Amino acid sequence: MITAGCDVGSLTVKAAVIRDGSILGYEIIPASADAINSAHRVMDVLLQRLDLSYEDLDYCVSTGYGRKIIPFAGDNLSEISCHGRGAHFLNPSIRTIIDVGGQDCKAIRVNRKGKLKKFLMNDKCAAGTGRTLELAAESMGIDISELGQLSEKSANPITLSFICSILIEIEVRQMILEGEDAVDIAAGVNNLVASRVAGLVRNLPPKQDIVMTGGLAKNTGVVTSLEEKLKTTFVSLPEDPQAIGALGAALFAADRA
Amino acid sequence: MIYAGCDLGIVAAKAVVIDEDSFLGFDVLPYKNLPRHAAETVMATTLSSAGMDDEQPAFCMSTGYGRRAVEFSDDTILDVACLHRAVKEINPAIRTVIDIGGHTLQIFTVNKKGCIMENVSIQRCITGTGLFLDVMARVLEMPLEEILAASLEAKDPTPLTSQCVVQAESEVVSRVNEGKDRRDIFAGVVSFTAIRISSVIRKVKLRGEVAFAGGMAKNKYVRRHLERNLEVKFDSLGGLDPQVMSAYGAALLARDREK
Repeated sequence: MITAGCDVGSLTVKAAVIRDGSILGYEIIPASADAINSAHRVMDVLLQRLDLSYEDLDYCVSTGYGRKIIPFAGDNLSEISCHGRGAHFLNPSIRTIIDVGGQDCKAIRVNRKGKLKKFLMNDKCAAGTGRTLELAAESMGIDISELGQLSEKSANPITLSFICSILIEIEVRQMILEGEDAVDIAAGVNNLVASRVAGLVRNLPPKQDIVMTGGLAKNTGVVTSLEEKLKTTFVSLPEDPQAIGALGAALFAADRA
Repeated sequence: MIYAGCDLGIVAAKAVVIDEDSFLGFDVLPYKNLPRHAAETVMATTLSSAGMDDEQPAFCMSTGYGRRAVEFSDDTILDVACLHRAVKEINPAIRTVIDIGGHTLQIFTVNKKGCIMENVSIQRCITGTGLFLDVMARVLEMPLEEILAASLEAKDPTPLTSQCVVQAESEVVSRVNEGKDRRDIFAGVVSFTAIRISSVIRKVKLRGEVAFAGGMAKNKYVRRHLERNLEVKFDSLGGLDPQVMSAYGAALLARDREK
């Protein structure tokens, strides 16, 4: 049995395919404003790479912001359930998932079977999300993927005055032009995001083992800063953390097929 | 002797120069990248417009988000103190001050003795401020003044629901992709901005005459919405540009200090 999951986020769109409980492959590409188009694109790329067609899929579940309008999905589920399921499948010791996406931040608790126990979400304010880093990186003239590595060299992280992503964009740009060290600015921005996320996670409260998923899991600066603030070490996942949602969706699809 | 006030905001630098008994000149300089340079430039142009190229202020007070970056100022002070001082001078009957700038949204009231009674200041969110409108205009790829004027022609304003500027950006992008008219979209943005501002203002009991300061006070569309929503008529401020009210108060405080 071959099933697929498609996770349509605000910044990226992901697809995963599993066969009889094993991962065949997954794909992550930038999203466009058109969710249906984005979903088709990522699924086309993945299926082509795996030498499969839509007809080979027994079932597909969609998740993420755009989940309800994906035509090739038989069902859709919240990204919270899918993230929890996907992470737990890859590492059954996981009980807490921290998922920081493009515009929101979620903290999820699952039980020993991977079932959702509790979650907290900040979706009213994009401070401390991917957008903050994206705008800061733009102001610094670098790619968002470079922020983590750049910050590692910092001995004196800058303390920023603001938390709103738009104000951070301006403050970072002005600091760069006033000659402040990009390394320290990058560290300051990562610390800011980590602070916001830590605040949310503490309210859950978290339980070991903890894993980070979503785009920000790849930013080593944010991950290290967050581990320091929560006084813990995260476990890692054997697969790309950004693909967890799509993977969980594919697993739910196998239940339904 | 002349005295100066410099208000270094996040999107514009403002300066006012006064002497012992009159207002000599002011200037407003929107800037993007270099706050220190903007402050120096606006002070130079203000002195120049007042015919004071060769005279240095006896005392300069700076205020605003960038007050500590104003290298030529003699001291710094919070903008609320400046606004308070300015309204005392302009019209003592003013006992409510609404200040909305590039990223600020605050309101305070004073009693008849001049003591501050209530003060609500939105510190961490730019929804309802000048930058909020700037970002939305940027998403629509039009100059702010142009889309503001065009939004008056809106036939069917598109409601905006996102409370956060980043989410509002995404929402506006979706509306554009759906083919909605930009004028309708921006009319919805302006209306949302006025509603958001009103909800902050309503946290405070309005007293006496009401002053509307800051760059947003020059936006006649928002101004009209607010006067209607709140059923008030804003004080004319003696014809003073509302965007320089903080800088004016700073100049007055500079003069008070030297006397």
